[in-house]
Amino acid sequence: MKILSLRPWLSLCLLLLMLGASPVAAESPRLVRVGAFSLYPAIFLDADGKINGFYVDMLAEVAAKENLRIEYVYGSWNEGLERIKSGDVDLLTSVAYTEERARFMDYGKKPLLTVWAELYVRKDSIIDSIMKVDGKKVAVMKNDYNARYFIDMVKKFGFHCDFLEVADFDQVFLAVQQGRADAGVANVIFGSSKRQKYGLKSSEVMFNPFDIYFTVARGRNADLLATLDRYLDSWRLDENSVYHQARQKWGGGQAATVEVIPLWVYQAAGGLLVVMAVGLGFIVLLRRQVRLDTEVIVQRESSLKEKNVEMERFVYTVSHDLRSPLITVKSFLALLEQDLKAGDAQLVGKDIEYIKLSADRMERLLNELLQLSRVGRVDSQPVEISYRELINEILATVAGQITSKGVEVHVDDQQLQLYGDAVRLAQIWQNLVDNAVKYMGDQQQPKIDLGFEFVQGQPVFYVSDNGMGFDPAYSEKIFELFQQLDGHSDGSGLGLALVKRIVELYNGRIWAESAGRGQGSCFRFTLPAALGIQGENA
Amino acid sequence: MIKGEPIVILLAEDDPAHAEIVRRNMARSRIANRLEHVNNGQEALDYLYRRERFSDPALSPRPGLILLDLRMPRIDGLEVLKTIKSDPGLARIPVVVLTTSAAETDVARAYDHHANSYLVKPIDFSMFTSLLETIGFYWLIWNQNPQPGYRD
Repeated sequence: MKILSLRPWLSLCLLLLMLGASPVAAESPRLVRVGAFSLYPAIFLDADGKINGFYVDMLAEVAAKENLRIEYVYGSWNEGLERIKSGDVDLLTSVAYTEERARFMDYGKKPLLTVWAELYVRKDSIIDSIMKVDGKKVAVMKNDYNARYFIDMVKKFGFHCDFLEVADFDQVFLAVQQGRADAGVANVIFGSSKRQKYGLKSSEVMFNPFDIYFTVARGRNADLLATLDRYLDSWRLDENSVYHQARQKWGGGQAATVEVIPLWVYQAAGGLLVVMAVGLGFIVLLRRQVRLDTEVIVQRESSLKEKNVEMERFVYTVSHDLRSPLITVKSFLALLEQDLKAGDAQLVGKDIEYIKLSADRMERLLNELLQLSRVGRVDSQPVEISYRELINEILATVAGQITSKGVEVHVDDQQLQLYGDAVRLAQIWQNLVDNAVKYMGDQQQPKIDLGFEFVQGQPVFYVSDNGMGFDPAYSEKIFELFQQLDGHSDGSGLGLALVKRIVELYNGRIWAESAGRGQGSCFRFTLPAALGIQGENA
Repeated sequence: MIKGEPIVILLAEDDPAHAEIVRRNMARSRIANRLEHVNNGQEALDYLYRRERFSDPALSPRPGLILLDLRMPRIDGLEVLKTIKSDPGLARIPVVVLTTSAAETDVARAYDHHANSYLVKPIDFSMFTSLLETIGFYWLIWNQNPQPGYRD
């Protein structure tokens, strides 16, 4: 091991501090303030209130050789980042590389360790793959690189999680243990040493393998970083170095044993173990990745199959529904011919009327089909629109119908911002109000209520009426294409199918309730994806 | 061949245009049998069970043949068929499905529920005419219908 030569400025210090307080040290040690946080067993506050751990052992060794005085400043991970920015601390341990962080920190050239993150859950949890995190509450550490990665990953899968932000990994685990969260993100160093204590297990969801480094504030303490790199380099090669001792001591939870077996055996076995561990780790990660990808593919395939079945049914129903008016048109054209020959003016008028009605029906059907096919397409940039504004616009467009049928409309005075395609969103309420007016039946005091109420923190919108209602047995069927519970109203049977599609486009659900015929009906729906973008954390 | 009263035909059809086509074709084919038209499945069952506006037996006589559309509002044709065929008092009335649907599932389900025949409405008018003529000959003239109320 090399002893480093003194730098010029150290000589200066030496001169300045000749009056030095310490009678032993020839020169006063350089003070290095290190940001410490809780990442057992790498670095942590022990029961005696002292900073301890794997990195601490390593830094102590460097300090002794380089005449440094290490002072730890304990705080949360986030506070550490703030402190290095402000210059309050000189050095941070265990920092993963991100471009954003590289703007205010310089990284060592040698990684300290390669780690990854895992999702930890209570022992009785059913979460064992990324597929099962949808809708769950996940605890994360504020500004944690792993957390950011996890949030991105969940988003890419199209899942929705609630995130609970806490200051450090201990609090992440505590939140999961106490049931305030269903799962927590932590790096594997912390996770594998502390999960038992909190009664947690790994969910087997692993992600974000990365290297962690020592860092210093950008443009400062470059010499310190270089020194640490040099030590790391030489330690790695030396089985007896503090690096390996510390890893053994803290990794296994026990102090290193006294050496009786020749060093080369350790070296060979160690080398082999490292190769195996790296290989195994790689295989595990690879398998995990393959499994995740496979699940996504399987899911996509089944959703494609569903779409295909729906498409077949759709094409079939369309051809059937166009067939019916076509029969009418052709038959009445033939009848018209005969009636003209017979000179029966009354029947001629009737024939023409039937032909006209059928042609109108076909036109309406085609128009609505066109609308339906457009639902999935993104036509315009999503905009922010207030719920009240939207409802007022809709009521203005259907005002004619409402007044002509003497319907009383009541809108709850509630505020909510929606985010999406205003035209599509409007179509939901427009069709539901249309529908309510259309199926008012012989109600003497027709009424429609519009509003929303919060169920489990999520707004559930409703459009209810006191009209004809329907048999509850049909509450699913009415959303199918071309289903009309009552014939001969002027609809084509596409309106509710259209509404359902739009609601699903916004990740929502729609259902209909009625106590039975003549009892009125109530349509309820959710629009999670139209409630604005949730604040992005970490 | 024809015994007793002439057969009354019950037509369950939700499309008034199609009902009109059937009615006029029957008249042209000189099928003079009484044709009663109901607008949906609910009305079909009300008629058969003499409920609501069909309570008068003189106005709503028991049919000897039912022409049944499948896709109907409120209660669809298959439901009506199921009810008829599972009621011993009605099960013997021949039910001829007359629909626009040629879907295999509809055909199979109709026969599962013991439809007596399954016919698809042709688009071409002359074919429709000839189909209705054939129905008249087959079910009203050649076919031997059961006597209502007969017991072994």
